[in-house]
Amino acid sequence: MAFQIGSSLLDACVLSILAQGDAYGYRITQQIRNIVDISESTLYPVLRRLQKDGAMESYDQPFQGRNRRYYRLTARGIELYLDYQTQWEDFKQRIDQIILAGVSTEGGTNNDQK
Amino acid sequence: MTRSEFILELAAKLEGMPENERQDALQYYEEYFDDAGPENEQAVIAELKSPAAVAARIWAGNGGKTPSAPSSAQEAEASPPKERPSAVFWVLLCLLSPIWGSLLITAAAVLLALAVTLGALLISGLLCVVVGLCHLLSDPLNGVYTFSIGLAAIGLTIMTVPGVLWLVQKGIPALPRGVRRIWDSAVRFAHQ
Repeated sequence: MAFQIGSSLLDACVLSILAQGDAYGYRITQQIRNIVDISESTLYPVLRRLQKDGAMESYDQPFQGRNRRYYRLTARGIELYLDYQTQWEDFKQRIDQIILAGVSTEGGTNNDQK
Repeated sequence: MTRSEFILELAAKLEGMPENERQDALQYYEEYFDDAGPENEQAVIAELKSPAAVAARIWAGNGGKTPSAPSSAQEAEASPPKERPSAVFWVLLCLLSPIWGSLLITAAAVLLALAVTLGALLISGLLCVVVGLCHLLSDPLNGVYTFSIGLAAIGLTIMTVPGVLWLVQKGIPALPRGVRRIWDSAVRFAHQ
């Protein structure tokens, strides 16, 4: 894909995944990797930073005789997630105005980028 | 490379990081391997590229701050840990203690001497006034003389009141502020 996912967008993705329910590192990584191409090593620093910023916290849960570290959103994280949602809507529309300026808007935007 | 080799090398590359952060990172990647399953071990290692690359990202601590392009440019050297007041700074502080220590003591001594002088002036002035008054009848000339000297001493003391008040109101609150400012600039100096 020609477009790269930046820091804020990655934050927003992680927060959105956690908004659907608590998850652990591997699962979050795979969920994001299903959609956009990120390196597997990218996510740990992101998780750590979000934790340091107080957007989420971690807790350990036993799984098959070992620990699994789950992450969940804090109140601040939820706030941040909602903020990202509105900002994303806004951003998406602006970019659409430029990139899809020539595309007829009938039946909504149907953007298949190759 | 096997999983345990990978983790060992990563642990070495994270040397110098606060221990809990290091353990946190290692635990994350251990769990990551666990969750990926043994059948994906080599795939994960290939994907993570190298322990050095992973360590560099953790040291950089900014996750996706740099766009996650599939470039190898990001596998730069691990950045050094954030600076703290260096050992040199503390050694200097100790070595120079004869200088700043004696300066502090001198300042305190000067203030104490001033306070004692003012106290003595006031007490002797009051005494002279009393003694002068007592002798006013028996020995008028010396009595008036002593009395006037007492008044002069008290007057001198009163004249210093504005200065003392200023010192108490401005100087004492300023002391900790001044000490902090000196401390801050010393720390800044030590950082350079």
